[in-house]
Amino acid sequence: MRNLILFFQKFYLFFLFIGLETVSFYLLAKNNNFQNTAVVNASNYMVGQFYESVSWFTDYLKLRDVNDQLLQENAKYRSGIIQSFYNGNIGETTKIDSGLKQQFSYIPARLINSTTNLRNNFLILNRGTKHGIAKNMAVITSAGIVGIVMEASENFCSVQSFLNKNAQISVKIKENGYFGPLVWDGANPQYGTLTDINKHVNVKVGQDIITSGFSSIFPEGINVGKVEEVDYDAGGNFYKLKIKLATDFGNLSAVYIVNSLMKKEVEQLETNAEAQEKKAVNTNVPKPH
Amino acid sequence: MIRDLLLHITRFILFAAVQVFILKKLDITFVNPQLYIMFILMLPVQLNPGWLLLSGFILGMTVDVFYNTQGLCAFAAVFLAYFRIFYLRTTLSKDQLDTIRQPDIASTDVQWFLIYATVCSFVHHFVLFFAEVFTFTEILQTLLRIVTSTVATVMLIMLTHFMFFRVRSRE
Repeated sequence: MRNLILFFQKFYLFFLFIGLETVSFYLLAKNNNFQNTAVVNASNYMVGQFYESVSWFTDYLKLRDVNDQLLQENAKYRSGIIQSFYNGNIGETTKIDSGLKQQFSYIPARLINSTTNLRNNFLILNRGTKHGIAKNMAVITSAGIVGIVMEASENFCSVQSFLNKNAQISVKIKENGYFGPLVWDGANPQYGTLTDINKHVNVKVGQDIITSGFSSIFPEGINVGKVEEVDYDAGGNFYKLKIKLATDFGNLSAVYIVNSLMKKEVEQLETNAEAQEKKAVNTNVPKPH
Repeated sequence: MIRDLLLHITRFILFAAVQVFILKKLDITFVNPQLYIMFILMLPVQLNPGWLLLSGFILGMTVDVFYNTQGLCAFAAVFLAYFRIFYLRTTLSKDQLDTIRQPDIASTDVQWFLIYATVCSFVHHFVLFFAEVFTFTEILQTLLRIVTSTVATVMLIMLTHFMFFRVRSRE
């Protein structure tokens, strides 16, 4: 017993060291998801490496077949996409279904001019009033969002890019539906900033962000990007999410202009409501005699 | 005794505050100076090693709370504190170990202190950044981060020393 006490006395420092390091590491691994998974996967690492180097070699042998298969698949999809019908009519493809009522139609357009390095960026497209383009139509690509039409002349239209101080798009997290405004902070054309999502919401890096459809400009469910970084608003109750945009603004060529066919109806309702409100106010005001 | 305790508590608060309110805001790629470890470097030589480890742990946890990295800084700080015991034992003579109160330039010399600060910062940063990324796949990037941050930390430590600590011995 005396020897045991002496032993601990002699080495107490080492035990204290190990103890404190264990506590720190426990906290680190418990609270940090990355360390957590890394510890679990450390044993699998060697096995995975081995498998990967084997498949790196065998994949080469299959490359020819895979290429043929991909080409066939591409040809099939290409014949099905909107652009294939472009020459036949002006390109506005509408779907006729007696049960469903079409809310959005898509007009293909080509970029004539664009910038990405200014604080307020605009794009020019080769479609105008002649093709049914009007103010406040949304512009998207197959990858993600682009902007909103600001002005349309007979043959062209100018689009306020998302990379603009005044652009704000209502988006939501695909997984749980929590929504907020997405803006561009002016620094990097690859990232946007999403605010106003409450801290109690479980947000993870890599979650998909899609349009919310609240503004009636953008259809619901268009891909916007992925959560790249989860940060907190200084002193607030909200997240400040860094979103990696799906659209590559530096490399845009073919885009679609979204024509919201029911927007008129919505706007009509709004103006009617406003007019009625005005009328109500007017009748309440006593007329001067 | 009480005066020393108060002195070190003040230093603790100042170093932690400078770290989390000023240096954390520094936004240069790959440069994350960790000036707060100077608190551990400047603790008295004769301090009980147990207390040394504990103060390193508490300092690390304090910084962790502000960096939102539970346990990470504490892990590296405790490691540094343990490393310091052996470093001082090997580089200082028995005589110095008994007489020097704190390992600064005044009681040793500039060269000894510079090496002391560099080696300790490097060891600390090595542990800190590898524990942070926790993988060897980005090893070059991590090593670059360690080296640049060590240089920045040592520069800040020397600057702080010349500005706020005794450089010449009293006699």
